[in-house]
Amino acid sequence: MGPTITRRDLLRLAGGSALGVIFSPLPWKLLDDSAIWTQNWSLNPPLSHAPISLAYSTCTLCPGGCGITARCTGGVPFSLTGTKSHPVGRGVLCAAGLAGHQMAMHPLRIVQACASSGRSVGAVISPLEREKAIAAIGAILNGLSARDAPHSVALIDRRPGRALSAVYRNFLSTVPGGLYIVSPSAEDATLTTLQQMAATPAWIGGFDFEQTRTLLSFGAPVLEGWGSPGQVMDIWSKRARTGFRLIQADSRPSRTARLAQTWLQLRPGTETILALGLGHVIIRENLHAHDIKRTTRDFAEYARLVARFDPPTVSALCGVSKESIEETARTIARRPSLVVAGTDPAGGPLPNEARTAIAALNVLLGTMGTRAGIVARNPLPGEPVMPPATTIDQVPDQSIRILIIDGAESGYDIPVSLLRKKVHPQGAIVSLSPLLTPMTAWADYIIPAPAHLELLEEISTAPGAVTCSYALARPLHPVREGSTDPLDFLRLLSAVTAGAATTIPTRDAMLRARADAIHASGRGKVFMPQDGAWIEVKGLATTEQFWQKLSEGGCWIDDGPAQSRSVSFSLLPGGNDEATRCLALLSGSETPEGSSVTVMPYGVRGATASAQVSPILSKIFQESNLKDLDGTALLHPGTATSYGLADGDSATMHNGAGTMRVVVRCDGAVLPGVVHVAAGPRRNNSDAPGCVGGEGILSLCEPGSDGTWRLTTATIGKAHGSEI
Amino acid sequence: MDPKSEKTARYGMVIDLDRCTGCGACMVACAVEHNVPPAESSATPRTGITWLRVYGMDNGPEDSGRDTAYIPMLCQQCGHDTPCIAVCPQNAVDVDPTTGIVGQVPQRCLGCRYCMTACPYHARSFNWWDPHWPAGMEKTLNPDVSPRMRGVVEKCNFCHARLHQAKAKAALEGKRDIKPADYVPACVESCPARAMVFGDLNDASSDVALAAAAAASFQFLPRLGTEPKVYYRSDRDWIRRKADHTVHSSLTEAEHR
Repeated sequence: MGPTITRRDLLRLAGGSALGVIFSPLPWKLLDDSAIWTQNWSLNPPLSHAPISLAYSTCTLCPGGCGITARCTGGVPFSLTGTKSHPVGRGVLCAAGLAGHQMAMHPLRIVQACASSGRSVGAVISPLEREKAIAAIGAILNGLSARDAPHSVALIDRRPGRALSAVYRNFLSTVPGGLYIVSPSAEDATLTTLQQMAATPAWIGGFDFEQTRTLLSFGAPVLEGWGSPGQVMDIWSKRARTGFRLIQADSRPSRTARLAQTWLQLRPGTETILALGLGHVIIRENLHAHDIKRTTRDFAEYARLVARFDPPTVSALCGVSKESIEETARTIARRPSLVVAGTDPAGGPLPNEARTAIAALNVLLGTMGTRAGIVARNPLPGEPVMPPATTIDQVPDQSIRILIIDGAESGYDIPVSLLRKKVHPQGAIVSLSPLLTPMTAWADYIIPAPAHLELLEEISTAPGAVTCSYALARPLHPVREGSTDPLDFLRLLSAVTAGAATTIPTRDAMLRARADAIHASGRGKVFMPQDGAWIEVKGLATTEQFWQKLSEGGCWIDDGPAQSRSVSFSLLPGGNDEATRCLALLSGSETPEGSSVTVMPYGVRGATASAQVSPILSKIFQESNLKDLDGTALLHPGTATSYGLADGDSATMHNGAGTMRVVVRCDGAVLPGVVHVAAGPRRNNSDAPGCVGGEGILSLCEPGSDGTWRLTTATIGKAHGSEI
Repeated sequence: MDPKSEKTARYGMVIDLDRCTGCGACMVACAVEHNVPPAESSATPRTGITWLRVYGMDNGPEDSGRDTAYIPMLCQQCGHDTPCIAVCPQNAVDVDPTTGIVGQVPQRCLGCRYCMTACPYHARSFNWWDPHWPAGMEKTLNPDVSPRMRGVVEKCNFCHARLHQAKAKAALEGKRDIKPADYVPACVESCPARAMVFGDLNDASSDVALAAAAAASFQFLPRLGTEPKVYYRSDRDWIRRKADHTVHSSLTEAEHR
C-alpha cells in the first residue's frame, strides 16, 4: 500500500515551501527588481554618444579673463576646467566659471526682443519685433527736447576697456548729447582714486601682489573673487612659505574677514576714520616714506588733519582697539605692503572720502611706483586715449532720455532706483542683457545679446594686473536665434537717431584691429593652451599668424610692468572741503532711531541681485549653507532677541523705500544693531522658471548724492502671514 | 589577466584646511562632473544632493580669538568596517579591492537609506525628486556618468569614470599601470587654492602618501576605526580636536552624571 497524502502533509509542504522561499534568493531578487521597476528611468535624459574633444577659450563672466579648457561631446561643452599653466587664470576657475557652459541654456534666457508694460514688479514683459522695439526707442529719442533731457543717449558700459567699449564711445561721441558711463569696479576703486590724486595721471597700472607681503584691505572681497581669482588663490595658498599677510578691515564677518590673519571689525561707515587713524600713527612714529615731502604736495595739511585722529579717538568711533590700530600701522609700515579699498559686489563703492583716505596710505608708505607696490603698466596696444569716463553718480537726475545698459556681466550691482533717478520720466531704459534679471525686468525694452560663450569676444587686462594681457573668448555654442550682437544694435539705433553719424565696424574687424595693433607693437609673447608653449610675438611674421594663435585659445601677455615715473600726489585732493568733511566725522555718526537697525547689503561677485548664475550653483547657495541665498539676514543673536526673532525666522524689513521679507540667521560675529542682508541668487524655481522676482535688499537702499548705497536704516520685525 | 597579479592601489586624498577658502568650486565641479541635477525649488541643505559639501566651522569665541575653517566633506572611503557596506540589504555598496574605492550601485539601491543613517560623515545623499534639468541643459551632461533617479542614494566615488578613462588610456599605450596625472578627481582638479592632493596611498613616495603621513594630517572621527582614506591637514589644534569630536566627548562631566 502506497503512502497516503493527507491534508496535513499538504499544509506541511506549503509551509516548508514558504519558509524555504524566504531563505532563497527569490525575495531579494523581487526586492531588487521592484527597486529597479519602481524607478522611473524613462525620465533619465539620454547621454551623447558623440566623440569627445577639447576646446580652448576664455571666461568672460567677469573681467578676470581665466583660460578655459572645455571637454566637448559632439561639439557641445559638458565640462569646463581652468587651462593648465594659464598666465592669467593659473589653471583654475571659480565656482561660477566652472558652470559657465550652462549659461546659454539658462532657464531665464531671453530669446527675443521684448517690451515692458511699466516699471513695476508686476509689469508684463511681452515679445516685440526687434525693429519695432528700436523704432519705438528712436521715437522717444527724437520726441524729447534737449531742454527736457540734455543727454539723448547714455550707455552704461558694464565692462570698460574692451574694443566694444571704444565703439560705444565713438558712437556716443557722434550723437548730440551722448554720454558714456562706466559701472563701478572693485579692483579699480583704489587705482582710479590714485589717478585722481596724481598730478600727472595715466601711469598708475596695477598691484604687484605677487611680491607684496602685507595686504590691508578695507572691505575688498580678496578671497571671494577679486582681481583674477587664480592669482589671488595662488598667493594665498603659498602664504605659509612667502609670509604673505592679509589684514581685513570689514564690518561684516565675510569669508575674507574670517580667514584673514587679522580682522579689524570696524563699525559700519567708519573706514575713513580708521584710514586717517592709521595715517596718524604712521606720521607720529615716523614710519612714512623718507621722501614723502617730495612725493606729495600737501603733506603738511594732511599731517594737520590726521593729528586729530589719534588712536583713542579713532578707537572710540570705529570700535577697533587702540592697540590694533597701532599694530596695524606698524605692520603695513614694514614694507612691502599694499592698501586697497573695497567695493562690495552688492553694497557698492565706499564714499569718496574713504577711498581717498585709504589710497593716501599707499602714498604715505611709499608704495607708489615701487616693486611690490602699485606699479606702472604699459597701455594695451591699440587702446585709444580717451577722456575719463563718467560714473553714474556724476550724472544729473532726470537728464537721460534713453539709458542703454550693456549686457556684459560686471559682477557688481547698481540699484535700479539709482538708474531710474537719472532717466527722464518720459525716457526709457534699454537692456542688452541675455538673461532676465531683476535689473532687466525693470527695463522698458530688452534687446537680448548673445549669452556667455556664444559670441567671439575679447578679454583684456585683468583688473589690477601689473602687465597687459589679451585673449579671445572663442564661442563654444552657436548664437541663439533672436539674440542681437550689441554692434548690430548700435547700427540699427544709429539709423533711427537724429544726428548720429558713425560707422559701426563688424565684430571680426573690431577685434582684428586690436590684435593687429598688439602684433605691430612687437611686445610680449603668446601662451598656447594646447601644450603650454610660449611664442614670442616677434617670432610671428604676420598679423594673420598672431590672430590664428589667439583664435586657438592663445593668451598674449605683455613684457612686464612699465617704468614708473616720479609723480607727485595730493593726499587731500578735495582740499579744505575734504578736510572739513573728514573732521565732521569726529562728531560721530547718527545711530538709527528707535526700533531701526543699520542695514548693509552684501553679495558675491557675479552672483548678485542683478546677475544670474547657472542653476547648478544652487549646490552652494541652496543645498548647503556655504553661501547665502537672496534675503538671508545676518544678525547678532542679541539683536535678534531684542526684536523677538530667532534663527530661521521669517522677518519683515521696512523703510521709506519699501518692504521686504528676509530669513533670519543669527551669527555671533555680526555687530549688534547691524543687519547684513544678502543680495544674491534666488532659490531655483523649476515650478515657475520665468519668475525673476524683485531686486531684493537693493530695493530698500536709497542711494546718496555721492552714488553710494552701502548703509541704510530700516525697521525689522517678525513676519506675519503673507506679509511681503 | 589574473586579478591576483594586479597591483593593488589604495586611492586617497589629503585636504589642506589651512588653504581652503570655502569658495565652493569643488562642489560645483563635482556636481557638473557627475550629472547631479540643480536643486529643486523646495530642496534644502538636508534634502539636496551634494556628493561633496563644504562646511564652515568656527572655534567658538566671538572676540579677537575667533578663527574659521572650511571643511570639504565627501565620502571618506572607509577602509575598515565600512558602515554603509555592512548595513546595505541590497549589496548596492561595495569596495573595489584593487583601488580601495567604495562604490555605490544605484541600480541595485532600494532607497532604504540605512547607509545614510550608518554613515558617520553624512556624506551620502538621497534623490528625493526625479532629476530635472532646464530645457537644453541636458545636452551639457557628462556622457561618461549615468544620471540617477528618484529613490536611490548616491555618493562620491572618487570620480570612478575618470579612473576608467585613465585605465583605458594606459591600455591603449600598452601599459598596465595608470599615470597618476591621468587620474585626478574633479574636485582636486578644480580647487583654486590647490588645497587637495590625490593619489595612491600605497605608493609611499607619492605626494598624497607623504602628506597623509605628515604630522599635521589627521582623519575625521578616527576613534570609530573606519580608517578613512580621506585625510585632512591643519596646523590649527582646535580643528584637529573637533575632528575627533563626538557627542560623548562634547558632554561635560556634569552632563554625564
